[in-house]
Amino acid sequence: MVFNSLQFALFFPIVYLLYLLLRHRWQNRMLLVASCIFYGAWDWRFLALMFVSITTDFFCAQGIFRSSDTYVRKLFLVINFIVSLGILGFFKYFNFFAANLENLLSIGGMHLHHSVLKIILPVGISFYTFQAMSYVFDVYRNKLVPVTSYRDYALFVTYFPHLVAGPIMKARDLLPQVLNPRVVSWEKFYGGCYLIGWGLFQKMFVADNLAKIVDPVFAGHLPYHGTMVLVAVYAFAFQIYCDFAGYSNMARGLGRLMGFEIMINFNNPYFSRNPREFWQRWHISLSTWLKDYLYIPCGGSQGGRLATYWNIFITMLIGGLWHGANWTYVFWGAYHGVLLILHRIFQPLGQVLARVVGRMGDRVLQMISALIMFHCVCLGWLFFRASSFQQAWDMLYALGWNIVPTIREARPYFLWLAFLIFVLGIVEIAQRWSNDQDIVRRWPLVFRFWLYVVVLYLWLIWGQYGGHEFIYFQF
Amino acid sequence: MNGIFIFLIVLVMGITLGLVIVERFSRGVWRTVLSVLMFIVLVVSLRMLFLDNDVVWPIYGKNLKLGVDITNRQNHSLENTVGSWRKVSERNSQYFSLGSSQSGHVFGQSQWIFSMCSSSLAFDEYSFFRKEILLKHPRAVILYISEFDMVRNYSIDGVKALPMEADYLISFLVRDIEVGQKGWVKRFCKACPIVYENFVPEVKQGFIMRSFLNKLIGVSAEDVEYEKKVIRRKTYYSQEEFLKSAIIDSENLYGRLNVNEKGWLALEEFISFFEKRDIRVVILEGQYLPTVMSSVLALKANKVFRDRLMPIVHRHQNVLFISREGQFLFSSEDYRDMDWKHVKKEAARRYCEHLLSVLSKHLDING
Repeated sequence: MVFNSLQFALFFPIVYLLYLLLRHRWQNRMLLVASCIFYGAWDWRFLALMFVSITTDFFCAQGIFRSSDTYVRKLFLVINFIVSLGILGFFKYFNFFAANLENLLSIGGMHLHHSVLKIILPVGISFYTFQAMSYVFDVYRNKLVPVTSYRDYALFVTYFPHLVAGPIMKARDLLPQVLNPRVVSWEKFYGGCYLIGWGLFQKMFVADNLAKIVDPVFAGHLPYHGTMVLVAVYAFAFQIYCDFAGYSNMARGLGRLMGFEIMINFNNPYFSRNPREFWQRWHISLSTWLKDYLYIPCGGSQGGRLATYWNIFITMLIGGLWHGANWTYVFWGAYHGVLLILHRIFQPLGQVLARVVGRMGDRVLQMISALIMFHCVCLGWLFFRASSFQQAWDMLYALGWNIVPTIREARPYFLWLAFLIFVLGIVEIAQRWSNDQDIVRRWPLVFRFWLYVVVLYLWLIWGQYGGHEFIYFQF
Repeated sequence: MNGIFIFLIVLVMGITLGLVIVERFSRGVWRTVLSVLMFIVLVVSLRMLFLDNDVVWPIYGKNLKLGVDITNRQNHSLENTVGSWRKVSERNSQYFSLGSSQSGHVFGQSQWIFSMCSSSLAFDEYSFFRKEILLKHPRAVILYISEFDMVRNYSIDGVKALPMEADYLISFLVRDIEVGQKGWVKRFCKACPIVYENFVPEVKQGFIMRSFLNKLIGVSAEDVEYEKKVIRRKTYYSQEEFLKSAIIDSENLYGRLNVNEKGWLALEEFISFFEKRDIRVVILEGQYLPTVMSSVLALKANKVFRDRLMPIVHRHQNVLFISREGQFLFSSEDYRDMDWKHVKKEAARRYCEHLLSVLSKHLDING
């Protein structure tokens, strides 16, 4: 069941009506059942898998909290990590690692024939595993007191708005909202509706239409023309952004309707001027998770320059692998790791340059930086979207050597891309300019009215109603 | 057309001014109520301007070309809407033809017959046109049907392109969903968007705006691309190859020979509807490529077809059945240079002339 499907349009009003009628305790019970139905709509069998993970987390956290013996606490933590990462590893990475091991051994003359298992990837497994691990880890670090109610903990993990594609909420942010009564106000209702509407627009108008430009080029049936590759990469940059940010906005909107506050996951990332800023604005919940539970425990920036670079690189590499079992994702993570390291190295130079050019020059410099950063990100997306390194290389080659003769051919697609991102661009610029994600809601009535009308008509006429799945579901 | 643009500018300016006044002089609930009211005015006005008048539709019809800007089904939907806005002349007020694309090819050029069609129209879908037919006040409805229609099940996507007939749509979907039967939830979920699209014409007729934008920027929509491929195929493949594929298609059809019970019931219901209103229904036994029509499989299919059709013909007083023997027979040449399934314009014209003489003998209508 996806947010942009008819099933969800029938499911949510019933859930919401019940939610408004019930008291806090029963609200939680009902939400847990609703979340199970929501998740079970894909495959009921994976509910059991999810509850194995939930049960292990719950009892391990209890064990850690009750014990004062460091050894026992560590043991519970390790058990939890083995179970959580074991499930994730098996379902997501088994075939990948087995195939690579086989290739590695064959280099040394050893032949290992593993049989490829037909494993279905449970939807949202990467998201709920990371979220649950953060809970146990926080309990271990004495930053959180574990919940006593299994039901409430299960709701924290399975809460349907963010279950399958995040944001990955930290236990200390979401659990108090589960445990305490929530307030539903008119203001929250309006805010929630706004976020859902905007998210649907991002997904159904921008992302799903952009897919029509992106998919045929990356399908690789035709020879690559430079300009078509260029337009496809630009289109994919906005497709993946609107697809994921659209989902996150809808999740936040649904949560807000019920009185939950779900964290912002995207904050105008394409206006970032450097890699560090990009990762503070893109998939914020994952990058903060990686920072808090991987980068900092590894030593962060405390162990000298080289150790810091190593920690950044490893963190980003794992971040890339988190996205999927493919070397292109690993490369993408490593690429961003290198960008972050290079930024760290050259940051002082940038500061000097900013002082030299003065205030006006700094503005221009920032715009140029944002443009360069956007193209660096796009280059990363090419590898991210490509099915293999060969394809990525062929496309890069076309970009470099076959761009001028095909400009005419790609012109309509550039125009189509401009049409699709025009309204999005206006809103994003306004948000970035004011540094306020809710700026549209504070606009004068005339501007708001016309924006809503334009968005509505674009959505009605050009919206893709097929209930297309979100890209991040596969992660 | 200029009037429409002037009205649009006045509307936008009026609403903008209204919003400024509302923001300046009203507070709280009143502001919300007035904004919503203005929104409703805007939506209704835009609908009237772009989808609900007899000026714009002929313009859409003239500018959007089949196979270049719009697909086959979109073209039929467009032509039917243009047709529904077109006033009937004295000459073509007496006969109204309804059917699949073949029916459109046969009667589309006739001055005497008001024709509406949709590709692959199934019996279940005929009643979607009841309102359109009544609005044109014909004395007879012409249905050109053959064995092909018997094996044809309606496609739920096709229903989206048909004219809106709210009451029939609901009864059609309720009947189709069969609550409680296996797979009814899936059928229900498929039906909901159809209801939604039929009550929100901006979605249903959205292809007009999409096609105009595509035309403007020179991009082809995915489905238009598909049509382009079809056109290319017509150019690249030889007539012999096409003929071969037409024969194979027909044989496949006979292989799937079944009786669409729901379809036959829908056809009878359609006939009864006009019987109650004293409107004649002329059923013409449809023709197809002679070499295919005379094969053993085809003859077998024709027997099944007649066995099902004739009891219906006999049960209703308003039905006139004209078998192939009583019609102008198309030759193989009449299908050449088409796709061997549809007939050429010239042949269709001769067929219609002959048909009118036949009809004038049987019906008390001055043709």
